[in-house]
Amino acid sequence: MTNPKEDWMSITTLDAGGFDPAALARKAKSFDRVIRWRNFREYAASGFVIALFGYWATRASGTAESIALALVALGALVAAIQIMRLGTPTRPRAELSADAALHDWRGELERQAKLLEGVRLNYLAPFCPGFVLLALAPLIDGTSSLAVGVASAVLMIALLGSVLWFVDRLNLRAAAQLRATIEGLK
Amino acid sequence: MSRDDRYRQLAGAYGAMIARLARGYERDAEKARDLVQTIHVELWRSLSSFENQCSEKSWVHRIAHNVGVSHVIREARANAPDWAGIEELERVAGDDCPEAALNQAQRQARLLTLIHRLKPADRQIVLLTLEDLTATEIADVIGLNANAVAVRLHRAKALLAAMAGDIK
Repeated sequence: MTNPKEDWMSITTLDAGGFDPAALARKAKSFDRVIRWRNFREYAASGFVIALFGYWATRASGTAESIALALVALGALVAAIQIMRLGTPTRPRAELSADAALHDWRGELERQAKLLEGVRLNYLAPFCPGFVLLALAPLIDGTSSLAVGVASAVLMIALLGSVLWFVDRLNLRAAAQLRATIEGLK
Repeated sequence: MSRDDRYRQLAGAYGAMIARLARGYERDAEKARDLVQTIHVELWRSLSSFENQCSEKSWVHRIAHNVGVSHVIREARANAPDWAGIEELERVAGDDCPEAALNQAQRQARLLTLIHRLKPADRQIVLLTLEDLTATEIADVIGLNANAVAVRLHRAKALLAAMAGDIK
């Protein structure tokens, strides 16, 4: 009979010596930078959309178009707040007991799964009023003929609906994968 | 003692355990090497908050396991996990080629394959058992009471016994 403990203990370990503390400090800093940079990108993207659509809103030729562009900017602001409120990742503390850390991880995955499942409501819905009004703006402001206005509005709303549906499906699929991982942790 | 000196001391004492554990949490050798580094980074970083709230051994194990489990979960998000519980693997372990007929490298490979299929919570217990920690030490690392650990430990030992062909 063999002893799995002996087999385990004799596994070759090439990296057993440890590392230079200065190198570890650099690596720790680099990890922190990655997290800060990721959060910065999320907020910068929202800020860019808010600034761009806000600016366009002030330059729009018609009232409906102006309100529509402002609503899109407002939608981006709501989405950014939702990202900050629901999506900011937490990092389990390494020194927690192992069971508490596992519990934390489950909680974090639950949170992320709910976030993905709620993308429709939290991130996509805020943009809808602005984009729908934007599609209808030429008709309301009277800057295009009825036929062209209706055709472009239908096309734009159909395109917007398809994109939102596709994004929603992708997120639901990612959420289902997360749910499978959460099941495996039980 | 400075944090760097403390780290060097711990790395010397527990470096081999950390490297083995990384193999237990990651099957790919290259990724396991990265995981070893990540564990060392967290160990070095966490030393600033270590105030003898538990034994040094438990502390290092906690950090190593938490980083290992985090890694497994992150990987599982990218690739659908094929995890199984201890009981399920216990049945599989006995069915295979007799342990004694294999050489050590083959036995190690088989042991690692089984470990990689375990759910993270079960994997922790099996790895801690393989590292020869006592039930009290395991309870300290896991953060559960001794009774809850005893049940899990019993299952882990049964799995290892099945692997060794010790099931009557």
